[in-house]
Amino acid sequence: MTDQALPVIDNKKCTVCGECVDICPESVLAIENGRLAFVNPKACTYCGICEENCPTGAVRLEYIIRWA
Amino acid sequence: MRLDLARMLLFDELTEDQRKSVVQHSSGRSFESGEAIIWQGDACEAVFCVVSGEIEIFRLSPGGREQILDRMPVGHWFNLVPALLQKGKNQANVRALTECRLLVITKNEFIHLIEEIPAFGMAVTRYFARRLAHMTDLIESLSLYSVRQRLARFLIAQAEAGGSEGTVRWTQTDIANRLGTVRDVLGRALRRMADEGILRIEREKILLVDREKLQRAADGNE
Repeated sequence: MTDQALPVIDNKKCTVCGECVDICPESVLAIENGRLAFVNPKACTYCGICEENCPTGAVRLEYIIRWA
Repeated sequence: MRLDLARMLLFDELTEDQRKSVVQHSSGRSFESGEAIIWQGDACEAVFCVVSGEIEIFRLSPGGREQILDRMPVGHWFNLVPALLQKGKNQANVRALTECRLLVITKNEFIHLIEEIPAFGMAVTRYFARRLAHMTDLIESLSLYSVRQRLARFLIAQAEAGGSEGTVRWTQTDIANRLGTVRDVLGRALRRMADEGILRIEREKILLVDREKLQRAADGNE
């Protein structure tokens, strides 16, 4: 795994439809054993396309907001 | 359930005995992260106080669009309005943002406590005043300000809170739902601010760089 932050997956909401797997430009995600898995986490650029395209809101890219 | 009563709003001005009396008329419930606590339109059965964790209050349009009304950390109360209405129905949906524990007082017990403990009734009135002020600000923001202004005001408020007003982070979808817009529009507004050097979007962080420019954006004075 990697120390860098990754999208948060809510497995209760995830229907394992594979939309995020197909659309991820860095092939970070895959379906393994019937669940979504980070197979290439270091490549994740936190671009948010997985979150934008998740039909059930199961993928979250979270931010803290603070002064620089 | 172990309670830190000093952190509970409505308890500020009560004596120790009065606090105990309120707690004796309550029960405790736990919810998992993401779990629904109440649904809009259901008959109001109880009022709630956040003992641990954080909750989110939201409404849904018939088309499924969400408007986040508020997030509440420890010590805050919700569902007070319908508890005081005849045949009141829950005014909004509430979900647990994190694992959380709630103090629950049934509607009848709540009314009884207001009647029996005048200081509790006054605390509830003051709390209503605060909530009314918050909702008035929300209406003003949604009806009078551009998305850019709303975003700037939201970012300043979050940064000023410095994380003390809650531990849950925001996604761009959450922010859009809070500001009464959609994710695409919110994303463009954020990127524009980033291009202008007002903020930096990093992994897990939205860092506010130029306080003066951000304040001008919030004031609509650019």
